[in-house]
Amino acid sequence: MNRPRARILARLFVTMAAAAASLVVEAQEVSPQAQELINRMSRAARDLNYDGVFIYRRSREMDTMRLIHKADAEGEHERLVTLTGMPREVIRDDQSVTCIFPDDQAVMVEKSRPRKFVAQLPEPVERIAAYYSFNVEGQDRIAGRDAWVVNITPRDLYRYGYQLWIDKEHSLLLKSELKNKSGAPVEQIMFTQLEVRESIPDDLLRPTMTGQGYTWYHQASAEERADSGAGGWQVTWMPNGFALSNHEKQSLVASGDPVDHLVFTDGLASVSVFIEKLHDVPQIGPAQMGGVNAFARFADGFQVTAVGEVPQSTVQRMANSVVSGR
Amino acid sequence: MTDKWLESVSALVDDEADAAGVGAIEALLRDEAARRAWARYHVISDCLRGTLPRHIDPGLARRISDALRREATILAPAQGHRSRILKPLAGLAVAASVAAVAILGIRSGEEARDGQSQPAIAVQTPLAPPARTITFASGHPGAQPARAQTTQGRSSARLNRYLVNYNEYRNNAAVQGMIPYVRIVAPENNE
Repeated sequence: MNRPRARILARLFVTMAAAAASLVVEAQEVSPQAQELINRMSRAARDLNYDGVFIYRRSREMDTMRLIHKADAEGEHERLVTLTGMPREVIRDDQSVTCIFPDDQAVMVEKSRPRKFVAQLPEPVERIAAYYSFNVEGQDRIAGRDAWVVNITPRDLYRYGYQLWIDKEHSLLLKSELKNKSGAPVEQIMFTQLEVRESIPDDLLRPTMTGQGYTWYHQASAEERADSGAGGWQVTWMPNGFALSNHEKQSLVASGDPVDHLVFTDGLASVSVFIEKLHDVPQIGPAQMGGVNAFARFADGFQVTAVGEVPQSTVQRMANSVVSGR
Repeated sequence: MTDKWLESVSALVDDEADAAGVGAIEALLRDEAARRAWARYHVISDCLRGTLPRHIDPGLARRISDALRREATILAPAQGHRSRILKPLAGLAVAASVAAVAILGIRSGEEARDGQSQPAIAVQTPLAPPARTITFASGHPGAQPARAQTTQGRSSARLNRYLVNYNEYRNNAAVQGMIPYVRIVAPENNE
């Protein structure tokens, strides 16, 4: 046997040994499939009792918030409180969502949608996989807990990417990043402390503010619309893979004006298009709230607004593509 | 470098400096000739006292100085503390040449760095630059408000209502639950 061949064989042996070693390592802790982890996370968020503090970061700002969640026979009870800045709160159960804004002296009550109807991954796996790739990147430690790191990467520029840190023990979300096309985070959430508890005392779910003397805004009613043709409005452009998943007509107490709410989703990201008749000054242009972008325009006496956890260009194109079929 | 300065430096070496010694220290801090004289006088002093080591390494101070300059990022204290630490040290009549050069070494390291951007110790991933800020014009929140509200408050009321409804209908298994509501309770951009 001449020398070069011996060297090749030696190299091959080393490679095989390394491969065998890595198999042994993986056998010790097999990382679950990304989609399975996401399903578990979604169930854990709904079914467990927990109380945690997290940091919320977007553009140049950073805030701390506390999230309390209770699940019992009646369903879910949740409370989200800001710990920095104005003490705003959101109280949510299976009937309603109440947002309290002491700085505006306003309370907003909207109808909630029970979480059980929310589709789980893999809904149609192939459908989502056509627009995103999933992988378990590795492991990390957040809030003193071991976590799996899951990447969800979009295959085009119309959607955002996600990086999720999922608790190994309880499957709760410990950290998440919403990423733009260059991979830079547009929004980050990270728990610094998270406790899973046997039970949550009701005191923790009560708002600290009564909202007395505040202006209350109520959603009066909402009726499901049968199909996309309702109202005669059509969204003529949306990214590949997006489809109408819901259409609702809501009305408001004082004005009684109906608001058409069309929901589009690619199975992961979603965009809502709101259309309402306007009696005053229209709202026009882009808006951003953390990872959510909105774009508003005025068409034929109607306010058209697209809202979604997608890049600004996507909501803008969708809003601009809305036409009245009448 | 006048003879007068050389005398002051000499006095400093002999620990006999008077008020003029302060001037000598200043000369040491900025004048290469003064620093060489300082080193020479120490060698002479050691020789006269018979405490001269078997081997003299005239380049030692320079090498230590260079090494310190290379490590300046680690050794140099934070910007705010730097001057406070350096001033009392410079004010003392430190009789060891190495110590004097060491201080100079740190200082020249800083000066060299000042023009550049400061190397960060912990590099944080910068968030993407904010998109255009909220430019929604005024609107009414649906229900007539009981009191006059600001334009900002009224327009965000409508957007908030949209956001709540968007959250409730999002078909997003990835980041679900209450967490999306952070966007409603988080203070608005004030940019």
